Amino acid sequence: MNLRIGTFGKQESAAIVLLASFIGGCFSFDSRALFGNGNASYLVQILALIQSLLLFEAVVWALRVRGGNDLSALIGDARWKKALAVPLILALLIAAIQPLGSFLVTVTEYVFVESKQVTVCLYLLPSLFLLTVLGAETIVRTARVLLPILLLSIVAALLSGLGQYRWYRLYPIPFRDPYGIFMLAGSAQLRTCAPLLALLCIGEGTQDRMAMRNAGRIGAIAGGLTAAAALFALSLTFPYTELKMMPSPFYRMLVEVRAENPTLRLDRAVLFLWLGAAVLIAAFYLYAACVLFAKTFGVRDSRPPALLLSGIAVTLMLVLYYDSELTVAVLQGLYQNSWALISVPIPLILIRRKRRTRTCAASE
Amino acid sequence: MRRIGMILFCLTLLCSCMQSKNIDEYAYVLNVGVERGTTMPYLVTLVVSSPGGSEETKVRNEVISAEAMSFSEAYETLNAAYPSRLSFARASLLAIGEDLARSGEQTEFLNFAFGKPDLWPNLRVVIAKEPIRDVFEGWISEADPSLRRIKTAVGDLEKSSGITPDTGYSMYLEAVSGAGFDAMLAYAGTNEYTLTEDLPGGEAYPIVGGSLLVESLLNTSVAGSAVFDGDRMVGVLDGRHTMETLMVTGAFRRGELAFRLPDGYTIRVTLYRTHAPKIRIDGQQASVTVYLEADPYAPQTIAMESETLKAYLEAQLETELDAVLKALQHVNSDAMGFGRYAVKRFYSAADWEAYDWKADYRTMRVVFEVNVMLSHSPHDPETE
Repeated sequence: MNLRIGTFGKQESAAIVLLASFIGGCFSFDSRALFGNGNASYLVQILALIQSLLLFEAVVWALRVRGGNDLSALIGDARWKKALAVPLILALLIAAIQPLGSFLVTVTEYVFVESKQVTVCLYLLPSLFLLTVLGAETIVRTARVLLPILLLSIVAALLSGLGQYRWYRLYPIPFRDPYGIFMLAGSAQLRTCAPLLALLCIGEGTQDRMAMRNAGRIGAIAGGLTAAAALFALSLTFPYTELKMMPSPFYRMLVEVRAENPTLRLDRAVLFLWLGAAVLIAAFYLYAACVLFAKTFGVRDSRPPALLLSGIAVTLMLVLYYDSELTVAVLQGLYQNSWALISVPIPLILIRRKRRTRTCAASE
Repeated sequence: MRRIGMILFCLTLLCSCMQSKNIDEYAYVLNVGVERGTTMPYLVTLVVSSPGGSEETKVRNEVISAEAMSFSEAYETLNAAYPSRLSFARASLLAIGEDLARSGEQTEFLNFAFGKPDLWPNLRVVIAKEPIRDVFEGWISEADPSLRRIKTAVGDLEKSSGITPDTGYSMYLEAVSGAGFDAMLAYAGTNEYTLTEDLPGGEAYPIVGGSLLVESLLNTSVAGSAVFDGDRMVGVLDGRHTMETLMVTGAFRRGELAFRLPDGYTIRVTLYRTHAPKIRIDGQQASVTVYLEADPYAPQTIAMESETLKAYLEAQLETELDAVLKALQHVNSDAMGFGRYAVKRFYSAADWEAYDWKADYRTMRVVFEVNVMLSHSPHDPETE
């Protein structure tokens, strides 16, 4: 087997989960749905994080009981294992293209205004493919290196908007519709659950199950709460009436800075730093999908599926983020319903297939 | 093979060198103005900074304009007719003509202007009383080639004197989108000594941009504010009434006001905000408490007890705040931002959007309470 998982420590694993949770939480949402009925985005993020941690703990518990290091060990024990792996691979694929697609729109709308999306995508494809082929160790160690500067950029971005924060923008908080908040948290589950799912797929490289569990907990909680803080800052910067129609709210937050503010020219630098992180995260998800695919379908090398999934991801991104009525509807459907790709198969994976005992087999 | 691969990979990093443009090829737009045109619906005026000018400054500022149907049309026309490529990367001030602002058409026109040509709603906004070309030319001076002075002056005026609001276009957009308040923008004009009446009235000499008795290098002044009902400008507040409105919005920091005492003696008092104002809304009733520190100029010349002076200042300010509110209610402008507190009672966006806040605001009764703390006691005649 040439799966190129390698070996990495708890810090690296926590760093990639943290990055993925932050990027997913802040750049993978449908503004119309999230801010359509007021502003509870930060609460939704925290609820989705709790739901995802519960699923993660359930899987880790099952691994401890049955003795396995990664998700494929559980899938191997489950009934209809291939049918259960396919939605998870799809979930990781969608989780990879959502933040990248969001950045693609931002970059073509506001930075390279004369370029087409396809041109920008051509630059994304080689880096995505290269990282996916190089494997988990390269990806997670790069995440560890990138993490401090990314955290610094988040702090700088939140501080630069300090003068623009107003408390009244938080209202109305849609407490009258708690069911709506829970539904939004449910649909946000893909972006909080995908980092943990990807970590579970490459669990073999995390040395042991305990290290994986701790890294998952630390990364998901730190990343999820950072994303919730960033969403809270966003809610203080813009009212929900503007947010629900805003294509790139975090980039808009960076350019709201006044001319005399020393952080005025920070927007482009931070945008490309976040874009780099999004490419790394997309590669992480695609690589995890490759490993899951290879282990479930018996492919002995991760590189062919890496090439395949990178190509599919970039193509899907180009199709889905092409601004037309049909693609907008499809994209909204994906944002709202893709949670089912994780929340339905995971409980089924936890149910162990009944093995035929020898005595039964002999009597037959 | 690896070397060829590395060279190909490095080539992909050179993408920014393709179609690159030298920095000297750009001319930077510093101010953007839009007003009603004579032949076409809109007139877009830009102040452009380009290489040249005197030995000292090395740049020259020019005012260029084009009439057009849309902002992008004006931009393309001006770009084609100007020797350098126009860049909005350094633009930081937007002026809207008063005639256009009173019609309310500027929002739709400007909505299509932002984003694409590197123009962002973080611009400061002023309402121009006179033709924008005259207003911009009044700001151009050899001593200030970057036109920085006038922009920082708007911010400084809000912080240090409170006679004009420092509002960005994004804040204006927020007001227009129904966030629970109406916009209040800085008011600018050339110093032609034509008086502008402010909404509440009562001042012999209202401090308003374009009506100041000033002879200076800069012929354009900013003072007072233009108040809006949604996206339509409905009136002007002078410097004093702007300051009082800012006391309620919470943006007031410091300012100086003159008060005529019952004995006919006029005192000047510097006011400081000590706490954020407290506003409570209960149906059609509201209460506003404003906390100020008052520092009277030459207190030894004031023949009044501390407590009497304090009570007098409080009563004066309460009366004036009430008058400003009534004038604003009359033109249906919630420039004081009571809607920002009204929205707190709602737990659903649909309920808030279905509620006609302005209908209640027009008839709302507000009780103002001003708490003044004197920093220096005046001369007390009884202690002599």
